[in-house]
Amino acid sequence: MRTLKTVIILSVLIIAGALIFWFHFSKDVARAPEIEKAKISDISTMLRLCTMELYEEVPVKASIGSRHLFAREVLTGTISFDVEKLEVEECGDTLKIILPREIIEIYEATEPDSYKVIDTWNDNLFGTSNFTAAEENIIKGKVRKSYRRAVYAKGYVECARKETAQNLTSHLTALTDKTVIVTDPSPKGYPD
Amino acid sequence: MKKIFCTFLWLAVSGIALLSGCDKLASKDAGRNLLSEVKSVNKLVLAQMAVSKMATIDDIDLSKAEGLKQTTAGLLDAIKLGNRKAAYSYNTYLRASIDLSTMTEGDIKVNESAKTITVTLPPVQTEFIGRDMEIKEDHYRVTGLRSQINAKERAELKEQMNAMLKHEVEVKPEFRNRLEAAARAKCESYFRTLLGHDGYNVIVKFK
Repeated sequence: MRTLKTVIILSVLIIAGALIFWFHFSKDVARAPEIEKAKISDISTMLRLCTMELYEEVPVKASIGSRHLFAREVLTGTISFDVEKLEVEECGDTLKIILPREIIEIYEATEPDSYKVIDTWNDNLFGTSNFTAAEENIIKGKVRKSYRRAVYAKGYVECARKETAQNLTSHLTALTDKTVIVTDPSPKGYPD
Repeated sequence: MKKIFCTFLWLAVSGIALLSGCDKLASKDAGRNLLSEVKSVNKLVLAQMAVSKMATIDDIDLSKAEGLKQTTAGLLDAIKLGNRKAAYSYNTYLRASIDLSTMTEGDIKVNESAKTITVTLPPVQTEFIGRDMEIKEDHYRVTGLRSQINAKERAELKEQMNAMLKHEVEVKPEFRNRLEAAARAKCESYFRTLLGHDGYNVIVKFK
């Protein structure tokens, strides 16, 4: 009788365990979100000379009060120059060009797991560790600003401006058959 | 009784082992070496496309539930107090450009007698440049005893949206075709303006 009881209890425990396990791991499949079809929201044309592509994995550490967030984010970016905003002065057989302000674009990568929240916690035992979308967006805005500063500090902009001047010279010399002189009024770029 | 106690102990130990395994995975991930890469390129960017994606988080409607898993989840949702609905969206960007570094001297031909300049350009290439870092919360209504939508859930949702968007762009050529058409038109007008002086007719071709 005692063995039977043990067997029944054990069976119930195993079934309950299996059910809990199944529910836990099948949660995402069962509650799949409704995702709408992709829509083209804008197409814009431009003429930009892109001389540098950036790729960086950054740790995201943020705190709001006693709440903390730790995540990993992959950023991609480009440093380019608007060809339509080039100041060109034609002096006989010479083209004098002034290099414009650089355009730095920073995005989140589209590779899988480009933004992964690793941990969120609260210092207070009974406090919530939840971050709203608005709070998270503010954190990401700070990450972008910080990365932008790093792009200048690491000399990427300086390098991009130098290469753009060389590329523009060779590109326009080949196309126009004129002597091209590119001057850079701010070799380190415009961080502000 | 001793056996039952042993079983409980075994279950508890297994549970702790499973949890500690998950922790190890997370810390390993956190401690991974972070990648950083800078690449010099010489591209003429001609067009950019923003593709938007929207997703909704909602309870499963029992009438639409398929299979045992969804029906069970739907039943559980139905007995919970309150609502849990939200909608999120963001943009992903595609870029069209030509690689100027692959151009050679032979790509520009001038015919003085016919007064024509023929420019043969590298093919227009399209690529994903990235997506919005921020996610737009279009709707949020979590009431009663329902749990708030957290950062992890939003990140996972964005992942699913991203995978689906990339697949859609891959299987539907209209996305890239529209971008390429805009890029070609821009490119042709640029080279015609740049070279079309002194009565020369400019012919722009793509490899």
